[in-house]
Amino acid sequence: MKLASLLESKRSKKLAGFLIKRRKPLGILLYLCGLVYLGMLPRDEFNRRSFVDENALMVGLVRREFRDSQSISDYAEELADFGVDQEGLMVWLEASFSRIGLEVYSQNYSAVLPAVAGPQAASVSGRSVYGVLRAGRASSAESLVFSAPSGEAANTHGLAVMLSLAKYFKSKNYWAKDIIFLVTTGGEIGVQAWINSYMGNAVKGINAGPLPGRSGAIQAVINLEIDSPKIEYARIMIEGVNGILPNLDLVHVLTHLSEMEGIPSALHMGWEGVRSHGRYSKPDLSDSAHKLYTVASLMAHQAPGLPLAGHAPFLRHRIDSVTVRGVGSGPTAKPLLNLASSAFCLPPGPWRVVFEASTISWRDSTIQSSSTMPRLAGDSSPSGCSCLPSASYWLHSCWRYPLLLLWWGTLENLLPPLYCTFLGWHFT
Amino acid sequence: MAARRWDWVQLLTAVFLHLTLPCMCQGRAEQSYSEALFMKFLADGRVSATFDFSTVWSVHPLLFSNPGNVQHYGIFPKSLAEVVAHYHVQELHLTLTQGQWRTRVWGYPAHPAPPGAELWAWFLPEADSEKEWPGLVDAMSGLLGAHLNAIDSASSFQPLVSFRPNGAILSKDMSNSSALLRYAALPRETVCTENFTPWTKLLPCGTAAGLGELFEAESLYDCDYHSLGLHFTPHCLDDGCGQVGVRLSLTLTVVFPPPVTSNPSILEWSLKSLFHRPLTSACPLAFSSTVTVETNSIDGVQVSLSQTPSLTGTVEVAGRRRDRAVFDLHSLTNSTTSKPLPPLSVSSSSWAYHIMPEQPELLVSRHLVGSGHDWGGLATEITNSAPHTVEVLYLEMVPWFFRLYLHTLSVSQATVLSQHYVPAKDRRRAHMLELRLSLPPLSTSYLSLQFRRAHLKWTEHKPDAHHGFYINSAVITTVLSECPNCTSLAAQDQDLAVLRLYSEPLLVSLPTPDFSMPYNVICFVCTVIAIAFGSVFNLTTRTLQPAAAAKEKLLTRILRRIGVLSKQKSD
Repeated sequence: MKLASLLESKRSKKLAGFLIKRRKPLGILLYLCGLVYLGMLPRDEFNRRSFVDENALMVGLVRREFRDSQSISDYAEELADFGVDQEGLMVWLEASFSRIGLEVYSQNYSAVLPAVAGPQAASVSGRSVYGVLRAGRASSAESLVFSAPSGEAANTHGLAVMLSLAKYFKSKNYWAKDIIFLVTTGGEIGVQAWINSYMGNAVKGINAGPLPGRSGAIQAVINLEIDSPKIEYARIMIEGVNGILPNLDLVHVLTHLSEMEGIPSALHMGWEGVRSHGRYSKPDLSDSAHKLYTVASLMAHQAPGLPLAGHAPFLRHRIDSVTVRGVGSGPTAKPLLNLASSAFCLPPGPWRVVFEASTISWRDSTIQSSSTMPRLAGDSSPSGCSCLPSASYWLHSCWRYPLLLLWWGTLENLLPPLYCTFLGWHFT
Repeated sequence: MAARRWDWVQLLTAVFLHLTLPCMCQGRAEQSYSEALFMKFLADGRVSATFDFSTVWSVHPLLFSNPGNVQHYGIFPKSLAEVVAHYHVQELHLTLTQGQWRTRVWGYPAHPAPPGAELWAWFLPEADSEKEWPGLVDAMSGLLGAHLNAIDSASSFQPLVSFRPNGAILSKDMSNSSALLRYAALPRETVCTENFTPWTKLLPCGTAAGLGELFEAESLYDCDYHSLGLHFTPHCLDDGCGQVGVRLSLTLTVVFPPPVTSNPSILEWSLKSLFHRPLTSACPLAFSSTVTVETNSIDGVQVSLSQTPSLTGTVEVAGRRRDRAVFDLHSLTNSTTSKPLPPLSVSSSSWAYHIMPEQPELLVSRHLVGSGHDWGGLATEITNSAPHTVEVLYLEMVPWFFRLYLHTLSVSQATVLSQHYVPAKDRRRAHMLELRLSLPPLSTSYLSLQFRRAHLKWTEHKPDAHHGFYINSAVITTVLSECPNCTSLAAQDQDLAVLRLYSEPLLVSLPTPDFSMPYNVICFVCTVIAIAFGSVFNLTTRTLQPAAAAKEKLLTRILRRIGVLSKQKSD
């Protein structure tokens, strides 16, 4: 009764008239409110600490076993001799893999680049080499991929870490899944060719050769790109093709472990790192500006949907993958041993929150990916289910509001192109 | 012929034994038991050890199935005999395997087995296989402590031609139908010492004497491949098969990692280094207890023994010469003293990792095609490196929730000679596709088949629903006239020309529901009902009428008259 009377009262008619008359300024005001609200999201009151969803991954119980830093430097020395000789490098890698005891295979591919300006060749061809570590007593139904690209950007130390880990893994007998050590050339095209051949999908323009050896369904991929023997911090790149994100448990475990090993990690460079090109001083990672920059960078990188690193083509096939890029070689850099061991201690540990803002902002956008492929996340319930219904609960789920405000603001056809490009909203 | 190649070695061994040893008392009802261990270097430096414990009993299988006929079981395990008799089983094959046999590198397996559990059985001619099969599955899962109860009608198959009886055939009717055959495989099954211990209890000497002394679970399970087998078959006791008995063969195949030493080019193994237990005696119940080592040189790499064997010989395994060294345990041990056997070690020098060892002639591999939760495909590659055409039987078994589209079956290079397809029935029966293929020489044939993933009801998902579901290994069965890569055993006299290869099992993920949704729905609906139902019901069903003025009570009127209450009536 009361509702009906409200709708018919004079006061409501006056309110409706006011709203309709002032819709444009109201729209702009709401839009600006939305932007301000978005900018306030990185603040601690508006988000939650990142956490590992899968209870079986116990980060605190990990124990570092890999201590062979000598083999990393030995491999790095041998790899440094190759320089730009890709073919020689591939042959040497094949021999190294087989000396370690892996099954070695290679794949040829070629691609025609659609529109290339400048003196670059219009077609790209190359050869990828991969070694398969067969797990004992396992039926090869599942596999993990440990990838390190090799190409124009020298990835000497990434390859060295991969080889020494391969040697170490071969001596262990507790593997349940096969591990594929993949070295690709040609950047993302080489990786795309490999994964297309593996999955049996064909992509126009990439002529991917057959794979002589395989393992089972790929569960996760870690891509290493390190070009200096000591690194300052690890940049973990998570965006994939079309803005797909991996299961966030994988990301949280990695950042958590790298913190434990003393290597801070970040999703994107700090503001100082961007301003002073190439000279990365360790950013003050608790700075709000850095968090805001990370949120904005994630949006800016996800929206165009371009692949940033070698892990991106895997995400299209719902395979959780990340790239770990070692950054910085200043005086405070840590040896690669720490990164290597952190990349592969699978159980997680006590973690510091480094980039909570960026992860929580996008947490719900990845619920889709984490619930359909939650190899690490188990039964991930939608966010908020486990929260106590308190004021903090509403704050924690308040990421929706700035977006809602933005949407309302544009209902009146204000700035729709700006809306689309600024918001890397991704529908899986 | 492969089955004949061991005759002269066995004859020599038997003569040797009978001249030197006191007569071993045979068990009652003419039972004979032999045990053999066969070890060889594989092409990639690994060491394969195959145990074969075989009991032959001269009771006819049909008599055997009648409880009153058999009075004394002797050394034949009574638990298994009762199971076989009760369910009217003619042939029974059970394998429990950890790992995938890598045919490309290791050659053909002596006892082929897919990863996980595999159980197949032929029932006696008069038996009702439909009724007996579930009971047999339960009995075998109890006998060996395996979770075979997961086998139901949706995962049992009746292959038409791929799994013919291995042993003697008791009735001509069996040749044309497979109504008496049941096959099931569980790739998800894990094997551990809980299966191994009941298996060792079926051995006459157990782990107390003979080759069973080598069994130590830690070393047997710290390997690259481990397969337990139990094979019960009718057995021809003489050449013309005039007399038929039964044979129980318990097999164990283990592949150890390469036994590298401090010198990287020398591989050395000994029984002690592999099994960590000393071998001190031969089983007194066995008429033959041997350890055979293959001393062939692999790619020019010499294999040397530290002890002089009792016998050496060269056998012809279908075109290739194989040098065998046989150590007869009866002669090497003395029953009066308990001196342990002198250690046997085998070393091969100037060894290096090979990049790609010589491949056997027939190879099969299978993988999944496509990603996403709607469509998918199976792709199989069969390689024939022989210079002649080979005819193979290809068997594929796919669960019902991967809906195969048979019109998408495409076969390249090979010719399909005949096809037998059994479509699936939801929740009752799985897909089965059997093809008879003719593979051209020196070719790789590709088979591909597309499927669509169905949605399961939320209660049908297994624990850890996101792991996915397994598709059984595809089976290639063929008869090879030449078999240079076959491994063979001393006591094995079944027809080795039948070769069976298993592909990898496939793990496919199905779209899973959000398992928290039933809880969410219940909460939501209950909240709505509790909060909104009352108000909405009132709003929709209550009608309001103007209230009639009620007559005031007498007392109230009096109080009003005298001025205690206000003059105005209250509304």
